[in-house]
Amino acid sequence: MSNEPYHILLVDDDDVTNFLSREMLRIYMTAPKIDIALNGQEAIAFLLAHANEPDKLPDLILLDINMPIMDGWEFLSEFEKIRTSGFEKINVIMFTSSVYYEDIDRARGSAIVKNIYSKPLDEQKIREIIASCR
Amino acid sequence: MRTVRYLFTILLLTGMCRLSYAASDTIHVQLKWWHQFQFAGYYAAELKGFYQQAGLKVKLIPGDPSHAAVPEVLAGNADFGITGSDLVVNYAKGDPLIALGAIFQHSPYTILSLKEKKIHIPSDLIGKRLMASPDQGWTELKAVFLKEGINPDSLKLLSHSWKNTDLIEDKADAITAYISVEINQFRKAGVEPSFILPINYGIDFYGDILFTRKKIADSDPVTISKFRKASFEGWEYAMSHTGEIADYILTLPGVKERGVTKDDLLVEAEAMRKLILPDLVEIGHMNEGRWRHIADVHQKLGIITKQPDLSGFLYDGTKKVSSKFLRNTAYVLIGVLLLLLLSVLYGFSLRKAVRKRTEDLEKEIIERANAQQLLLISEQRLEMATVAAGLGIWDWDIKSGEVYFNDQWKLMLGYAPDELPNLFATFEKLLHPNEKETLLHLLHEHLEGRSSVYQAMIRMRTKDKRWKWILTMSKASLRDEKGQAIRLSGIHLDIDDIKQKEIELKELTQELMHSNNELQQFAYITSHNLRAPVANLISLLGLFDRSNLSERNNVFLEKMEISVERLHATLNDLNEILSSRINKADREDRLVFAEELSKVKDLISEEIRLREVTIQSDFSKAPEIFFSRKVIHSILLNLLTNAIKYRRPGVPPIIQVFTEEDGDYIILYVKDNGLGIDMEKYGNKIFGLYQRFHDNKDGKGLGLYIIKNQVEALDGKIAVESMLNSGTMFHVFLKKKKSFYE
Repeated sequence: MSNEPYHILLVDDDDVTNFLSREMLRIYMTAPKIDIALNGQEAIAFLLAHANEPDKLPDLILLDINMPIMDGWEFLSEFEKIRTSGFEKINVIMFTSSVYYEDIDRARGSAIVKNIYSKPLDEQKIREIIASCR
Repeated sequence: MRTVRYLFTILLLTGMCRLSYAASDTIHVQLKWWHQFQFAGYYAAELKGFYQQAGLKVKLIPGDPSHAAVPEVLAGNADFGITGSDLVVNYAKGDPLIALGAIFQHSPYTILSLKEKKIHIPSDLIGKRLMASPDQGWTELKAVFLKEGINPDSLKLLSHSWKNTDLIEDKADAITAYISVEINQFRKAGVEPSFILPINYGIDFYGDILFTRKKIADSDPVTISKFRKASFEGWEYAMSHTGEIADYILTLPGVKERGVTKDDLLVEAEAMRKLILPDLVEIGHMNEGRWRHIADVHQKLGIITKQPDLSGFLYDGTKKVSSKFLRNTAYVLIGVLLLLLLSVLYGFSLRKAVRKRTEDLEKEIIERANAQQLLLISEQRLEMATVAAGLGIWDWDIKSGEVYFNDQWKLMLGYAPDELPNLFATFEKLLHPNEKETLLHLLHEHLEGRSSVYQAMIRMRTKDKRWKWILTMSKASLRDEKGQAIRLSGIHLDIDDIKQKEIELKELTQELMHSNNELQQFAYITSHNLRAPVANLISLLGLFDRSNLSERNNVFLEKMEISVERLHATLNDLNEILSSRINKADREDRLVFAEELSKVKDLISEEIRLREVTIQSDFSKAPEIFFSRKVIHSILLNLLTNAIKYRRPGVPPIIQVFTEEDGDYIILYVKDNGLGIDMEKYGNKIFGLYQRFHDNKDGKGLGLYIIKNQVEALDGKIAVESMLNSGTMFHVFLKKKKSFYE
């Protein structure tokens, strides 16, 4: 692991999920830095707010699909528009309770999404995610 | 010189004979019925002076129900008569009558009813009231019933009132009638008649026959010959000058009084033309064979007891006249004949040739008459069929713009035949505006020869302002040298009912699809929304610190864990089913079975190795298919894992996978040597949800359910055959698709 703490942005509208994800990440990672956005729009706002401060940008986004205001797919298309202005290094992982063929296919078809995982997080998933995003 | 003198004597003798007869008597002719076009030839012979030229003075007496021709002639009230072919019945019974010629080559008798009464075939009349008259065709029409195996006693016979109104007012269900007369009268009265024609039941008799008493024929053959000749001449004239004769008939007593118009007479004339066949058959032509057939039919039906000797029945002009001649002038002729002998011998070969030619001609006439008769039958068949099918027929002469529409074409739209003009514009005007452009384009393409058939479903305006669905179909029957259609004919079929049903069905289908989509959406949302909290519960239970729990709380926690696990498992199944659903719009690829099988084998390679499974495959009969990869994988994976799961203990599993073409399908077989399924017990449940047929196995009972749904969604089917402790074979029928390359 690098010297700097690993920085993760959780994008999910469900408090319990966010609570759990944070707990799991804290258990299986060394002092991760965790931020939370409750929907796609908050996530975009968070990124834009720190556009000029690369230190404060996350290494990884765990993105839910079904959210109010701006859902995961809408976030992806917004993110694609701004990605080249300093966000290229951010990894996006879809993290969803959907297990539908259509969703999985769509996520795999996206150039931005690195992978898709179903909820909940467990030790193995966390290790795989971190390994794939190094 | 001698010859001239003898010839003069002959002329003198015959001339005297003629004069003496003309002076002594007026010839009385008893017509079969009152004055109408039916007797046009006799009127024409009178009007045009043919009788007069032959030195005959003729009086035509109209008939009526109490003055039938046969009794009148037999009683001596008339010298000649006109009657039907039942004349032969009288002859067979011994009445001294002789047939001089058939005017109608086919009988005009018909059994007439009204369309609304739905009497189409003889058996429809059983128990019904029929007005008939023994002198007016009943004998012949009775033959139709007997031939059809119907006892005429099963009809309620009423004596004929000769009032069409009796049929219209339902005092009778049918009447005997003349096809050339009454049909037109009923149409005129605004009711549509229906009719049964004897010819369609194998009864083809002569119609009107000119006849006389045998005594007259014997004693005065010259007059008979003259009358016959002049009458037939009159017939020829009448059939080629129908208008003139119709005008004359209108001047005869009683005609106008009955309300008969010139049009009526002309309609009758045209109907008669089909029966007389004046262009094909010499007027008066009779054939002994046909008479024998007529007598035969009567005999078979028990109307006459034995086949009469017809030689005395048929008039033979040449024989009779020459014998009379010989008897009167034998001594003169002997001399003439002697003198002529040389020239006769000289001309013999020529005459032989002429006779041969005449025979050929006669044969040809008979053949043509037969052809005409067949044509008539086929015309009648066509008419009956089109009426029965409610088929509209149109025939368009493109240059003139005139279109023949049959009555049905117009009736289909609620119009009476005379309410619509026979023009293309009629069709165009009644066409639905939305379809007009497309249809006219289609028609144009066909007329130009760019499309080979013309067929469309169109809406047309009915008289009561509705739109009716009609199928119009055609093929240009005539094209000019440039391929342009010059005549187009086709049919109209009323498909309104079918079309309405189709529309209803389409709406229903849409509704069903809509609710099906809603249900799927609902299932999707439900499973999704349930899954998230269940996943959270599992995680939360995992993180829960149970070190300080009491014994009792530990038990509760364990039960909570078990319940959450079950909930989780059920949700997973539900998700599996939902995500396995497939529809036809899904992506399809060209798949090579061998490749797909090896991919699936990779997925379960660990299992294969562990259980020492042998998988044999042969895809040579159908190596590839254009299909959904997801479904093929799902089929192979489920069937292979099932085969392994349900192996027989102690028997190394052998699985055979092979394909075969079968019409629209490729059949994929998966055969194992495993436990087998008790088909009698489980046969119909095997593809159901949550069905498990073996204990102690980790099957969820989902796999077969899922692949069955997938295969059926793609128009295929799946079947199984199995024997307990022997093995199972699945037949998966995969519907072939046309790939994009084909």
